[in-house]
Amino acid sequence: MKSRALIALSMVSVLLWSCVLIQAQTQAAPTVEQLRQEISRLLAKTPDPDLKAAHTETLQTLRIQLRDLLLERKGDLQGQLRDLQSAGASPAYKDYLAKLEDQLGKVKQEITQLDTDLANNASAVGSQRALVTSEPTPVESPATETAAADKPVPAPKASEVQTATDPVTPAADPAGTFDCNEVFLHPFNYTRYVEGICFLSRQIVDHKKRDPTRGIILSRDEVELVIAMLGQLMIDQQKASFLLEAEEARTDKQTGAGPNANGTTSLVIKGGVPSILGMAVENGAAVADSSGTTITFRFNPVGTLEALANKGYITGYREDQNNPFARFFRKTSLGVSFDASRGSTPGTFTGGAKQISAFSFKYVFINERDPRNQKYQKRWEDFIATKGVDFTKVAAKNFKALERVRTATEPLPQFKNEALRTWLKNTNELLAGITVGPTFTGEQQAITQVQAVLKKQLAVLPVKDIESDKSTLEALTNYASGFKTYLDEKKKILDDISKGTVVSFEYTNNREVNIPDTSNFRFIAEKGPGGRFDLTANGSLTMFNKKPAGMNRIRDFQFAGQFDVPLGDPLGFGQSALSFGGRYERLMDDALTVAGTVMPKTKGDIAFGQVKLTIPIKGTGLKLPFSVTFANRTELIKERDIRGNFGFTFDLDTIFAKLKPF
Amino acid sequence: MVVVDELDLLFSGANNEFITMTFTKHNTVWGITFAFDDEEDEAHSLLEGTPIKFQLRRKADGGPTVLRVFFHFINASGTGGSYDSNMIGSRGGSFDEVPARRQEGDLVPQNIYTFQVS
Repeated sequence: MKSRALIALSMVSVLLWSCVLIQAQTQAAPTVEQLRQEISRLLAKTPDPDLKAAHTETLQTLRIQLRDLLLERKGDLQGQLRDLQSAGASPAYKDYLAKLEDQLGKVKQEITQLDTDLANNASAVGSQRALVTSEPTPVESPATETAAADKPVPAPKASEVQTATDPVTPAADPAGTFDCNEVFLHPFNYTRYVEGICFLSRQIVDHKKRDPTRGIILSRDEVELVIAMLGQLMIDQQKASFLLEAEEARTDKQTGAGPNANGTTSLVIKGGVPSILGMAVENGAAVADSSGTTITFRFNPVGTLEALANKGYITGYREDQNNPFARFFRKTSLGVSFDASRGSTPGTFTGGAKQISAFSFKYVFINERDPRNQKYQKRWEDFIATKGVDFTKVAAKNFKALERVRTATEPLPQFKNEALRTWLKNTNELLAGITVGPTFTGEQQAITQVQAVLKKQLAVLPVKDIESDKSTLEALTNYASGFKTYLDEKKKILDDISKGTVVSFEYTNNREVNIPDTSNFRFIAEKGPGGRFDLTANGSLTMFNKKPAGMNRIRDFQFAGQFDVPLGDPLGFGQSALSFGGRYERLMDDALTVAGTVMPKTKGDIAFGQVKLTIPIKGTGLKLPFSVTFANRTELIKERDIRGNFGFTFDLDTIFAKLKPF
Repeated sequence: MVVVDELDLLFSGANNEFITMTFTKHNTVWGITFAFDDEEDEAHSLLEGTPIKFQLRRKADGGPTVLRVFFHFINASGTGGSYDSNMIGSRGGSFDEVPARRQEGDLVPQNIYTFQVS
């Protein structure tokens, strides 16, 4: 009775949780007008002395939100003005442009006022901000050396800006802190603004390894710098729809045990394999009769050997491109499952041989979701020859426009805009003081220090000087526009690729205690029907390794399907996924119990349905699957059955790459 | 061809000297495009396995020849791709970089090669 109540409670929790996630995604964002009114109302009321801090903090939050919306509006108006410019315009048309300009002026004025208010009240909430930031204190900017015109002091903090080059704000990080090592590993999880800062930081550290005095080198870093500047400048407001699927959002990796294992939350097996080692601990049972805890380790043999050999994640991946043997094994995974209820101390995971409940081998023999697949070569060649060349024309022309004309005495690139040139000189002076340690940790520390200097300097970017320099502004805007077009075209191809087919084969040897061991042969196919959805189908056959007396050699056959729906990242944990699965199983004979006895009248058909929610914990490689499974009966009991499962899966790829990415 | 400053990608070469640049990709679909500052509104894509080959010409104002190379990266993860480069002057001198560029998500990084012509 108690267990039924618990199951019911689990079901309700999972369903409520799903509703919360969906609700969180659909909740309407506040409007400009609403935020203005709320700020006015708060300002009109003197707060209770005990609530003064909360009052100030709320005001600051609302101001930040309002400023973000206004910055978007500003960009939109600037974009409209840019698009509508016409040399021989009619008076009515000019009037309209004047109204647009007027509107833009008002928006800018309101932003300036908000920046002033935010700056004036910053100290009140500063201590709280400090709690969520883990960055070292940035090096002080040489304010005295910077020309007054270079200092739009109320400029928004880089960390608070959402821009065109900013496809998604890292929600888990409202203060704007981000770990560049995580960005290098999963760049598509972050905004292009963040990418610009982190990759520029990495470039600078690379330069410093060759010459410790160097900083930003335009010959090599112009793209990254311009991306970071664009993020700061908010010139363009084309919204970024060019995010790619993140590693953590991948729904094609199976880390947990198969559906027959005790305690598994999986009804359907997925096609992908982890690159190094995945571990899953899952509690409950999806389809087996005995609930328990199954711990599954899934290894990629090549990745694991590289990890043991202390070879970097990316170096290893790169090296096996030219090695057919390594390429073959990169597509395989070996799994070992342990049933903690077995062995001399049931209920305690010992990792001993007696607790091994299954071995498995998986090989991915078709993977059309890899953009490097030969199938897409012609398409990519065409893309580079057309869209790539178009983008290069735009980029080269506009970078050239940003730079001074080269001469025999000054051959190297320099910004044409004087304020920008001064800003770059100051930034490089600050960067000159940073040294790079000889170890990997030293390098990471240097990247963090460089990143802090860049963020600090971007906050004092000479925005007004740039905005008043038509040629520089136009070059930056045109570059952003060309880059957006390029990325949009690239995304179209990548979207098609994400619908590609993945086909795998898996063999599992299930080791039983009192009954004959079984072998399971399973084909797994995945296909993206459109959007970011994923459809998986399984077909499998299970045979007894040794034919039991009076029974068929074939134990069962099964067909299963699953539909995965990515939920996005509404709570800032990472990309969650909701899955709906179904499975049909035909038992060819009456089932055997764990004790080895035959359960009469159990031969026949079993149908299962499952709802599963998988929540990753950002940047950790951990995923928490919660599932509810419904069945018309179990293998041993001809009664309806409902089970709740939860657990966690662990993908070592993420951690390993973080510790030693190169 | 002489390397004047490898970090600044600054080189010097003789008038009429040929420069040959080759690139090698790792863990990415091939994608190199380039443009010379002297060519208005022109850009080119480089076929895999073929070099960029051009002749240095002394200009009347003594200004350098500027080549902008853009590195396109295409793979599933946005990370781990790279290009190596090799540059050879027909009158001697070479310059290798391994890697010349590392992948930066879906940014398209640029190397600006500047050649002073004597």
